[in-house]
Amino acid sequence: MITADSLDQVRLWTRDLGSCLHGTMATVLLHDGHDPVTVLGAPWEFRRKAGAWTTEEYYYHASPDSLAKRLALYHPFSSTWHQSRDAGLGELRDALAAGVLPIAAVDNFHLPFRPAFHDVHAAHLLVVYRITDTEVFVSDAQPPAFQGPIPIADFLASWGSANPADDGDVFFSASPSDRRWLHARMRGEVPRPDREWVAAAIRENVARYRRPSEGDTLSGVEGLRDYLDELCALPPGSGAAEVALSELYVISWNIQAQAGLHAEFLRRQGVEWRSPDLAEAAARVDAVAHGWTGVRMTGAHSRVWDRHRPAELREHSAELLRRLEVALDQLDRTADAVSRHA
Amino acid sequence: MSSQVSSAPGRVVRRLPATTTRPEFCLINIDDLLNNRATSGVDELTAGRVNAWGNSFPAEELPAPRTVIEVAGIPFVWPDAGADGDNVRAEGQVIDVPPGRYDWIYLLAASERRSEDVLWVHYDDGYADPLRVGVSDFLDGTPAFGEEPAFRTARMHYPHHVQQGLPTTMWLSRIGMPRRGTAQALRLPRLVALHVFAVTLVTGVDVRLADGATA
Repeated sequence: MITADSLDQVRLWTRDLGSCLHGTMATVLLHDGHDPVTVLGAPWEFRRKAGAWTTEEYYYHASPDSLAKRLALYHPFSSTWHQSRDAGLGELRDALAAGVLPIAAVDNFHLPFRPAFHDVHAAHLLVVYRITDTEVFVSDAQPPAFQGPIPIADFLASWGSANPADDGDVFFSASPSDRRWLHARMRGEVPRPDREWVAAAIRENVARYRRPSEGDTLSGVEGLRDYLDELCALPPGSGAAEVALSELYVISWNIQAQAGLHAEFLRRQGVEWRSPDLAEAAARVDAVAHGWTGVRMTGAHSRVWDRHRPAELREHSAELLRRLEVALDQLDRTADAVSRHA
Repeated sequence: MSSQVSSAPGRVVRRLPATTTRPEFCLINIDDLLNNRATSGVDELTAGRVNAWGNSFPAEELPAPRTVIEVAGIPFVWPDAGADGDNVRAEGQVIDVPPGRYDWIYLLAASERRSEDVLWVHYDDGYADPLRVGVSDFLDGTPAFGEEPAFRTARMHYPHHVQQGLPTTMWLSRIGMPRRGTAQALRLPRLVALHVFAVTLVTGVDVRLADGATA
């Protein structure tokens, strides 16, 4: 049962590059006594599967893993999507009674605290932490940040929304909430983030980036290059480009967020161990995160405002790849330096 | 005391001359380059283009057009904001500056997510230095590049409403100029996410004294 004491532990967590995906996972992790920067910030990767994306702020290509597992590759963290079959809040009440903080798929249009309230439909995630006879208590760290009660009717409207296509949000509308909720939980022993573990995580990230793509999922440096080449080859303003640029904005949100979080993870360990190697590696990874801004926003402004600048998109794509190569070389050296001092 | 002069192609600047204890400030007028609306009044919310969502800074919480303001000790001239623009969205524009020796470029700037790119400085002897410019997200308010917030508003403008309790941040960013040369132009990156509202160049006291200044 969620008690008053445990409710005090429901904490808002967000980062400037993050979305509701990392934010809600972090709130669950914090509630269960885990550090989100370590759990979600240790892995770093690029993966994309054509046609697999959905118009949701929380989309991340996780298959064949669960969403939580893919975000937390080095921890026994995993998640399961559920779709409530009863018309009320029974499943969410049961989850809370079992000590689980359910993460609900919602539509911002029906949430009184969201800027999109009664304006724009958009798929979003939030954490449910208490339910009374009249209200649902929700935790949503994304700006403007809200933690508190909303009327049950508003929650049900949002949780059950069809989230129809909406010109006000071409990226995150047209994806029904469908009364879905995510159960994310650590299900095993949590590794101690010592030097060997951090060095191993860095090496695995670098190795994964340097492996070629497998099957129909583009991955690593090669996969990113192929993806960006494909994107830049589309005729500006064409229907195909519109779809591709929508996909770009959606899939790269959480890819960019992960890069920023990985840099934070490295930087924090660098402070703890007084390691200039880790601090410098963090700066290189941050530069990759910031490189995504150029690609994402050049694409988004083409998609939304018809500001087509194919040359700029190519330049930012090339720069992103250059920064990635520099970061991987630096991380190679950093892993060795971290190991040497273990 | 201040004086208005023009750089070579006619750009108006305002100089605040140095003393032996105060650096020299050169306030660059960028009105001729304004190309984007990042601020709006409550009666023109749909004009906002600071990001892909059509958001904007509330103009009533920012300085009036053409006023000289001071942020953390650095004076700036606020742009002559109008319907066609209130900032320079970075598209590789060249900003001519009065030929001179400068130590710092100060910007009032905002970014859609974090921007990290290259701002070029061009010198009279043909050298061009690529200098890193970093500007943090206007929405979150976290200074990822160690900047100071210049303005933090109480609300944010959406295309169809004013959102109270959702702050926006405009940043005071600075870029060091290590070369001891005569700079004559700056070139902005080509980065749609980056918005520049004001530019001031600073020449430190030590450089002026080294150049023989006595007052």
